[in-house]
Amino acid sequence: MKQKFFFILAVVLLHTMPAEAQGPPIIGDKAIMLGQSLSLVRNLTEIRSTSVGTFTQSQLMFHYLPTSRSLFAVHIPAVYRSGFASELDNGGLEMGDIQLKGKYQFYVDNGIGETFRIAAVLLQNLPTSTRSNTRRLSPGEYMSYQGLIFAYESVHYGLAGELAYTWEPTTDEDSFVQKVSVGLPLLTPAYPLKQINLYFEYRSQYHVETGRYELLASQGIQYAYDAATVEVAYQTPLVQSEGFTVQQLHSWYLGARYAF
Amino acid sequence: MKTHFTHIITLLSFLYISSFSIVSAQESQWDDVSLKLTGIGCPYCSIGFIKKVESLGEVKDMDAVYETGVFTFKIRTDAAIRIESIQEVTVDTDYTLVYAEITHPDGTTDLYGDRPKK
Repeated sequence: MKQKFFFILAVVLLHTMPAEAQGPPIIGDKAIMLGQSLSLVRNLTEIRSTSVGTFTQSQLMFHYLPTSRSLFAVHIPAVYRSGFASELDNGGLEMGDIQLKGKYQFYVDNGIGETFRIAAVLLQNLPTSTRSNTRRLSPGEYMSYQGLIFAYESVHYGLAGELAYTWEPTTDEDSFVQKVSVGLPLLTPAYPLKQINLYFEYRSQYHVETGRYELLASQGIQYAYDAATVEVAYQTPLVQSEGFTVQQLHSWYLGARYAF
Repeated sequence: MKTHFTHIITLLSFLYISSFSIVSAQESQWDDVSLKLTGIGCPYCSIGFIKKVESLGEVKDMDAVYETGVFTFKIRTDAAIRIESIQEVTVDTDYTLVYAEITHPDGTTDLYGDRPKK
């Protein structure tokens, strides 16, 4: 029922919105780079309600573009746990896993008011979290994420896709990840930049060794003014295997970014 | 004596006003720039391009038509902007420059590409 509702909502919005342009995805990654020597500071906070309690992860991200087609980033997270029933797991604030990211955009096809780009991304997770049982937000393990990001942006709508493989040498959590996002604007593009965008994002993950699978859908809204954006999104699982020891109920995402 | 004093005051006033006008004239020297780019699919994506342009010199009256990729703005003449400066900015931001026209205050123009049809 939920699946049908989100699908119909997405189709209706795609066909009825006065779409003119949009910004970067809220949860997914972007293939479009802002420009050489530019930096971006971003915060993305996820409040994830699960079957065992609530995880809140707040990531501070620093991105730098040494060239027009490459990006280096460091993500520094803090995780707060609350609502746990177990006496052994009384929650609290802890360090999450620091992540290092590199991205290279290797294909660009520009048109008038549109562009299609492909980028390769490598994200390395470092097990800096103080407790490993914050997994699924901060795995507490060495993990590398290798993927390709595809993006088509036009003045009418934006589409982005991501195909990736996560490799965790010390666990059985290797997985294929697919992400799709659709961005729809509510305001006519103009200068100075002022946008309100709707985002529909989907993420699926198949764990190759355990056969577990999940499909998550999120709806978000983003306000962009000049070089800054603020955004909020709600994510809910459409499909989730019973094999997961921790079931995700839903997540709220709150974010802000500033380019300089 | 009084007449001489009056003449001196008048002359000094004239020189002061003239120098003020010269400074004002220099300050109001702006180049008009018109560009057409491909690859800008969303306004936020263009923020890097806009910041790069603003780093070239003082910019005013910026306008952008995203459907056509046309940007127009005025930039202070003392920024000495050239077609090469624009090309460098578009390369740095991975867009493609189709057309650029810089009109200087003396009426001369620098042109790159074909003027877009009206």
